[in-house]
Amino acid sequence: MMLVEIFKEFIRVVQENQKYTIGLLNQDGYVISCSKEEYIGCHFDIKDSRANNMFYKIRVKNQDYGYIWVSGDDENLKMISRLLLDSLKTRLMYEINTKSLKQKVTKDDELIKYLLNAGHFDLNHILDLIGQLGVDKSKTRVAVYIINNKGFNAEEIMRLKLRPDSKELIYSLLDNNRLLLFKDIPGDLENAEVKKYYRKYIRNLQDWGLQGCSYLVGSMQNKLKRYIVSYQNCLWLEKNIPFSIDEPLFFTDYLFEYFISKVQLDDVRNIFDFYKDRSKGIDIDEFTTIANQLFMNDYNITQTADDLFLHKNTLIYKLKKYEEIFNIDIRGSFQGKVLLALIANTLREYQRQKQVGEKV
Amino acid sequence: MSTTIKLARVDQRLLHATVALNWNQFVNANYAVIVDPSYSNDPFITRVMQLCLPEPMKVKIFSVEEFIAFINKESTAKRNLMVIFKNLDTAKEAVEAGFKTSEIQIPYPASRIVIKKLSDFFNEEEIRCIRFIQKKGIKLFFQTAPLDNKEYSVFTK
Repeated sequence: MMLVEIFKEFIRVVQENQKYTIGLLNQDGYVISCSKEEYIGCHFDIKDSRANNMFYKIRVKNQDYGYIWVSGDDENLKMISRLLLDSLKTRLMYEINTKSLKQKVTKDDELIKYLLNAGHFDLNHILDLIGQLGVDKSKTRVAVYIINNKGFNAEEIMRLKLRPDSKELIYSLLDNNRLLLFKDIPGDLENAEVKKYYRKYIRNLQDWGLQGCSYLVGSMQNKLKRYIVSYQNCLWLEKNIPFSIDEPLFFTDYLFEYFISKVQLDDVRNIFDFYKDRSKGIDIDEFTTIANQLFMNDYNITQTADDLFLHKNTLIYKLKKYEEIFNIDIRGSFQGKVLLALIANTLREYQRQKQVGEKV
Repeated sequence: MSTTIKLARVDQRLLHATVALNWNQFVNANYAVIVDPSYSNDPFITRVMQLCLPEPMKVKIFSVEEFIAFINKESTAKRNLMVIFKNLDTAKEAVEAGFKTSEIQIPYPASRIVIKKLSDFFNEEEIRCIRFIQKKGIKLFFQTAPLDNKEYSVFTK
């Protein structure tokens, strides 16, 4: 029983001060716990409060928990017994609130487990949990995947539920280092405002206490079945894009890279390996660096040459060489630019696999 | 690690009302600091107040001087403070001694009377304390429970 356990802590504190005796009485006036064991089982008339014997009803959230009895010859007995009563009631209320919060968080955990079960999407169970949590299923939500390499404090994470701006939040601590939130978006928010909204939300989380974390933000989803996609977007960011602490990374900023990454590497390799092998001596690191920089600069050759500390003519010479090797038109056509990005992505991935010792 | 003031509140009912309303959980505080010179030297009362909250939450009762020394002391642990002043005079003394925060909360009067001007609820001495605190760039507002609106307007008149 929660109250008896809490009361033991009160007994320990009161035993340090020999001036007082403290007891917990049930509704019928029998002592069930006491700082002096000899009183356990004794009966008191709780209406008989005297100068050195105080009885108070313990009533929390409209429920009666029996009586607290405080005894002593000290002149401050009344003040101390009121203080003990208030502290006991406050603590009891705290523990009741915490217990109810834990139950809610456990339901959130269960809901997220079901939402992320790609093999079997159990809509009935999900709707049941959503109903129990009082969550609006029609809201658009985004996965925010938070990584803390030092480890989260589970008690602190439980309190996320109490933030005033988190009424529609669904979240679960996936493991000690990974926290997944599905955060709702206000219905009237323009698409262009979404990133700003999430930046502000993440800043608030940091101010609240989640510092030293990395934040990966997935795509917007308005169907329960696709929440998993938003989560998978975050996992893709984690695996493919370098991220830093406290600076959020948005999946929507990497759509091109994401779709490029979805093209089968072997499909690209089967076509272009022939050209690469025949060229002999192509510097793959230089090739992927140039391709990447061109992409970042919208294929502006002057800007790319500047960024790579190359003379513009040198860069053009290298691009011409790549055009010859792979038989594509990088400078003149849109298709050539897309193919360059595909080839560079494939070669980059093979370089990575070679470096980690994978068989390619 | 730094000390962060998560909530500064003036409440003569001290910790009991504040914890009962769940403030520590809403603001993610791990320290409850009561600034009340009358109890600061009584270890038994401090121990009884600590019983309001389970470990690892910490409860401290300080005089104004002890409080200022506490917040200025370097700490290796993360300290998110919920600070409760016994009254406006104690809050003013703390501000005068160098306590910095952006705003201080005062619970609505229990009767929820409509307060159109400060003198409807505060006495002259309290109004002097309010004006002193405001001059230091700290806002004051009424709010009892975490989901109540913050009411600043009375204090700006």
